Amino acid sequence: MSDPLLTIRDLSIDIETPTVAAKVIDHANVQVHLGETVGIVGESGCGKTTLLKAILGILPKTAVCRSGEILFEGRSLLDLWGTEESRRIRSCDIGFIPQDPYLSLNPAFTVGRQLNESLLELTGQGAYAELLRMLRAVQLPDPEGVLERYPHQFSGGQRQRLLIAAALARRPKLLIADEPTTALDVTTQSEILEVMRELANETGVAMLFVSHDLGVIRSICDRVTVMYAGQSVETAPADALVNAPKHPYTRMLLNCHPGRSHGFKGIPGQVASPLDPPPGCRFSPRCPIAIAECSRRRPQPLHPSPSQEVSCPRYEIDLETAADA
Amino acid sequence: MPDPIIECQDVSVHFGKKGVGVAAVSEVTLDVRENEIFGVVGESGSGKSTLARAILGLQTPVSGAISLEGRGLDPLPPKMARQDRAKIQYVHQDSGAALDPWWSVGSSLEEGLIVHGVRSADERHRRIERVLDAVGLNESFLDRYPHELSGGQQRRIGLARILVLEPQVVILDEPTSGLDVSVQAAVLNLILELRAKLNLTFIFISHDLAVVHKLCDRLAVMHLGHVVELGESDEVFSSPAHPYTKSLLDSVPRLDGPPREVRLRLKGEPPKASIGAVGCSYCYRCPKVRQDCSAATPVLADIGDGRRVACFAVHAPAGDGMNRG
Ligand SMILES: Nc1ncnc2c1ncn2[C@@H]1O[C@H](COP(=O)(O)OP(=O)(O)OP(=O)(O)O)[C@@H](O)[C@H]1O
Ligand SMILES: Nc1ncnc2c1ncn2[C@@H]1O[C@H](COP(=O)(O)OP(=O)(O)OP(=O)(O)O)[C@@H](O)[C@H]1O
Ligand SMILES: [Mg+2]
Ligand SMILES: [Mg+2]
Repeated sequence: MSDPLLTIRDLSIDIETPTVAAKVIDHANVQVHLGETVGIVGESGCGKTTLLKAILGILPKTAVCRSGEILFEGRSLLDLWGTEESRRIRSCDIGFIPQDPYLSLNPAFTVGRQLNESLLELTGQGAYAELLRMLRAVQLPDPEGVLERYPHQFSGGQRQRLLIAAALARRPKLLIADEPTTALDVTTQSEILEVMRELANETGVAMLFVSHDLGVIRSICDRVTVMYAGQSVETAPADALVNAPKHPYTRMLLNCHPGRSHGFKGIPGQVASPLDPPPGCRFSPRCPIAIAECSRRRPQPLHPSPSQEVSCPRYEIDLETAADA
Repeated sequence: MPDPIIECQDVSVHFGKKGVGVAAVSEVTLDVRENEIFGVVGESGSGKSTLARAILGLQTPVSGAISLEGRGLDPLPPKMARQDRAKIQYVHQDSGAALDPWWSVGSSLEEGLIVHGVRSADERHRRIERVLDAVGLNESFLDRYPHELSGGQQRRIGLARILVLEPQVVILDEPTSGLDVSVQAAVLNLILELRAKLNLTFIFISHDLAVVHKLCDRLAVMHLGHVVELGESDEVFSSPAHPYTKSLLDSVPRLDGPPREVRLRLKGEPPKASIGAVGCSYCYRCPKVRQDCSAATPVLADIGDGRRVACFAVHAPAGDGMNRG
């Protein structure tokens, strides 16, 4: 595999609250190689957005990094936080598509004014031509006309196309997308995913793609990292993850999928709170195959195969037999 | 066959004037049977919520008739219509967010009963107790405020607020969008349980086709204001008849089987459902389009086994001598 573009290694982040520190990210590992699309999947509150914000350097002031590093092209982003260089990387080399297309454009200005201002500032006059090219690539009709219109004159799917075009017009090396299709209906979602797949192929941009929908992740990602309560519990090629999941959390998450479960199944219990996280493996209180050891020590990553990583020493044990025992 | 509890006959709802306005709902005919879960699916803007509002009496149809248990419902000003149709209740898409942050759960629940003229405090408390139990919560929740509840608990309270009014028909607008699989499973199981326990009928509006497939007995597929297909959900999902239903099912990201290729592509602007438009609303992107499709609007006709489809290509397949020259 080619060189890593982005490496998140052993990252832990606390966010101070009036009472205690929320231990939001706990020794997480994620890697994105050149030209690769990596998915991050996990239930609400497991730290997906916080991880993205850490990469972008937009965490609140109350956030503290307790351990680990974030390397972009081999350079530590954490050391660069707040410097001009970090601002340059953030605005030129890393593009960002936020979760809600309805909240991310200012309704008072034309789309062209908002997109162009930020682009011109960066790359000068060539930017406009590149933006128009990208607007065509995402198949928005009448690109020049688009720029004169106001955000409310677009549907959710069209706004998302706009934001993708704007992010890609800067020619970033890495595109970060936080649930880019969650607010859209299935038809629009599949069109947006198609557009993103095509543009990734054409431009060679690497992507870090957050979603809680494993079907979406499978349709667009090469590899996937599963997060639970701030810990990265499993990483595998997308097909392997969906067809042969290892970690008990991943297996239970897949079992909940309406297409696979009988009736509607959930995972008993609730996602561990970062204010008072369980010790050791944070999934252990909900895990049917946990043993006392699991809540004593955080499990070290194991490698069932060269491309797979799972943080559970008991990943070979069947969930059903354990539940019966 | 159970009796229909709600019937819509050629119901149309328009916004704005002819030529410039939107035909949000066009000549919709459907029946919802007692104690069933009836699904309404279709992409954003297809008129699902507007149809619900017409049934509730919040939106006056320009034509057509709606009846409840065989009794024709007269168009009334919204406030009077709501009293007249108190047996039909609506759970708003974001029912958690709709809770007043300054009101405890108990006061929120009681307020609805006071507004609906339940004078006796004993009666109010009896109903609240029963419903809390039905939604799987207990009295300790009465003193809590919305921010002290999880997303799933907020949805349960949103549902409880409607159930204390003892409706017969509950319309749920996107009740699980944005919920995690676990919380979603809890909400869906609750719906199944309440249907059995309280003999309720549900109209379930959703983008999530996998959920609709498993939850609903029958469903209607809407496209730009028209019902294009209606039938038993098992059958519609296993052998969709209308080309739009097919492409909608193809858009669902899958966990199993080969990833689907996106066949459907928006060409240019999607047309608005304009008032007085002639022709099938889907013909501009239908793979099976033929000459007659834009000349007249296909009506919903029975194709056997209670399945109804509005499509010329299904009614008279090519080769039957129609319009082929
Ligand atoms: N500023 C903050 N102060 C305290 N806690 C925070 C703060 N920001 C996030 N958290 C907590 O950190 C955890 C992770 O939040 P995050 O937004 O990263 O989750 P997520 O995985 O993106 O969830 P979702 O799928 O709902 O978007 C949550 O429990 C959240 O309550
Ligand atoms: N009050 C209104 N005034 C004008 N047009 C409206 C109004 N309410 C809805 N519409 C239009 O009617 C059409 C149907 O809207 P509706 O909200 O019923 O769609 P929907 O199927 O519920 O969509 P979604 O899945 O996005 O909730 C849309 O074109 C919408 O813009
Ligand atoms: Mg998030
Ligand atoms: Mg709606």
